[in-house]
Amino acid sequence: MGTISEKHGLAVALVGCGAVSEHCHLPALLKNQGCHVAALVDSNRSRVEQLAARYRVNHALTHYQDLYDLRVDAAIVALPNNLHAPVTIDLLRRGIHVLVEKPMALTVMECDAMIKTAAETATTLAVGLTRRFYRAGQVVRSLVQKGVLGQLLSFDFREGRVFDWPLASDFFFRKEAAGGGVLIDTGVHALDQLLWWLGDASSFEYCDDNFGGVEADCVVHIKLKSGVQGIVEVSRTRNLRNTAIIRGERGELEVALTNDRIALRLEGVPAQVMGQATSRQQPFGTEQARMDPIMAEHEDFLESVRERRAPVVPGFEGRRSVALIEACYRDRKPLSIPWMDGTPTLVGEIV
Amino acid sequence: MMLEGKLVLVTGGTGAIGGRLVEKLVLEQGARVRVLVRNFMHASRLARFPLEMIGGDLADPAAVNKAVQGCDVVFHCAYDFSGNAVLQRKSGIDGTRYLCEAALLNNVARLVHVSTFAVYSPMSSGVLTEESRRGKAPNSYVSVKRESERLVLSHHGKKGLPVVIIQPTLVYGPRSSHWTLGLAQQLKTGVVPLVDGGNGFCNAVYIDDVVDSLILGAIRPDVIGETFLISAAEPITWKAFYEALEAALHVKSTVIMPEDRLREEVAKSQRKPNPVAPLLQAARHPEVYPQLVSLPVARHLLQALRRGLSDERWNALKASVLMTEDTAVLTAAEVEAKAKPLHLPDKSLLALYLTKTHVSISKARERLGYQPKFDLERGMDLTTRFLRWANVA
Repeated sequence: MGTISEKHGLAVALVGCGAVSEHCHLPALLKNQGCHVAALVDSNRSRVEQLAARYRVNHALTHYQDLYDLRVDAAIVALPNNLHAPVTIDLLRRGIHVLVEKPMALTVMECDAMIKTAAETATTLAVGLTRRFYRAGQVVRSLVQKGVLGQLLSFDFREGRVFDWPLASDFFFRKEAAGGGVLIDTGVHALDQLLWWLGDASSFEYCDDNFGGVEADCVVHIKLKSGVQGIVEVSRTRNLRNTAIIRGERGELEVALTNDRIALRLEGVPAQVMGQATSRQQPFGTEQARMDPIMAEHEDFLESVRERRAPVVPGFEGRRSVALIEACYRDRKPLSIPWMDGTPTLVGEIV
Repeated sequence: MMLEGKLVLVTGGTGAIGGRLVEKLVLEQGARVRVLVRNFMHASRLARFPLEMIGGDLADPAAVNKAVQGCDVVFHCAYDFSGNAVLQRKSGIDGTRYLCEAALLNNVARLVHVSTFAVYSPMSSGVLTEESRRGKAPNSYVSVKRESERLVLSHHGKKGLPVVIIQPTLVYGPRSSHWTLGLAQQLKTGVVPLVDGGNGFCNAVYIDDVVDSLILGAIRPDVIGETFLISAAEPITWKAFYEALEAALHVKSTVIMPEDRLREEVAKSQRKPNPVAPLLQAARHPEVYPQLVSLPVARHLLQALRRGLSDERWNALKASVLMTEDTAVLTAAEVEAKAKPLHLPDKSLLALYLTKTHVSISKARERLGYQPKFDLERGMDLTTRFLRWANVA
């Protein structure tokens, strides 16, 4: 079992050195006073050695099992989606606390195995649903729970950007590695926000444009257990509004899905309140610098390890969106493509 | 030859034509598709299909050879507009050469090369056929396309490479970057001047017709070594084309401009920018102007100028500052209209606007069995649906 080394804070390993590690996790970890990066792991030797040299990380490993010989307290798992569950479970069994990137896993069965292992080994399992750290989202959840909008009527989530992540290979687009397309990659965030704010789903209808690969566009019509219905649309090919609108009898909230912008429109009030959700300490009338949610996520994870408390997004929270996504893929229908005559079908069977 | 079960390589698969071709090859032809992908960032739409993506650049002969290995058919749709003229030549001409050599080496049964009707530039009014003469190339795009055609044909003539060249006219439709999304952007943001009442001939073709002609180029017997112009059944006018796009976008952004005035504007836009122009433009804003002229320093300056200048000169100065002959300050709407950029055609487009070229598709009809299915109404209906879906309209 790893030991908590107080001297330089927690010893953290970064497992998987793709784009999200290089551009998000590593810079945030290096700024964090409560930990030090003890090792980088990636199957691509030249890449991991190059990153380790650049950021002066002592250990550059090509197999995560080599971490067992080091004194590592915690790990961030940012591997292809299909490896989230097996690698996380192995690390937890060795007493290494894990923050696993979203989606937590590809199936509910995998999520349950991860949750069970964390419980049995008394280790922390946190899920990288980074948007839970946006203050605007925290405000939305509170306002809805306090009934500010009155009886809820509907929701409308639209998230789309023309895809622009720097990719070195087609690995990201391979079904066996990614588990799916835009729904499991971006949609997992939007669905998590929906379920977190408004509660779990009772039924849905899911359509996407996958013809045997991974989808680039999809739409889910969802009915929640509360009876409220709405839509979640996600795209890799189009620029959409990138906000969620939640309508109630007394008004509506519109909130940015990827930052702290928020608007409140109350019934009978001719104007709206629009601005930025900030910390309570922020002086009135001033703009707050953009919160770095990934730093907040790391801080929460490290603190939960140090204080042996549950993280903000524990395994059972990460499991919620995976359950819905798994069901969506199981019951998928073809997305109607308005400029193609008729509903296209694949010659042969859909994989 | 049918394409079902055949291994087919597409270059330019992340573009509009290549992307639509991939869709049709998988969904309608049942081909096994491989795509040479330079930048996976743009591969989201390709990834929807069960196909093979090979990472690599056309300018890298090893990558090209790897991509062609085992293929029955190659569709060469790639063209890189992103670099400068030198880079365009490198990927356009060298890439085509590597592809032809790899196709020969791998005994490819057919190479379909996507060119353009612009190789016949500068065009004159009247019927344009595959026999029409080619004058001096007006730009590097045309010269690269001509040079790649020559390469493809010489590999056919000297080494027996089975090639077909397709020369589409102006390709519009879903995802067409220039003739749909680019023009939509211009119409949404500015003013687009048309000349000659917009009555010049616009030889536009809906993307699906082009893609169908590429597939015919691959499967039709007795067309090896041939070149085919591909367009809609009949040309339309530029006015009709732009009006259809304006209707799709719910805007009215075209203006008819006399040819001499348009040439003057084009010449003006090519002159060195006036460094004071942005300041003057800012000063013209209806909210800024009254505040500006109420400043003491501005008031003194204006009074001094008014005293010192003749009435004629004073009015001329005022007109040049306010961009109006009228002495009144512009209304907000007028300022907004004037603030919209004028999207001027370049020399090649101006030439297209002015000529009444009728692209003949007789050869493609007779030899290739090409039957255009989309007239402007049907093509623009589908284009409109795409623009709405894509959040452009």
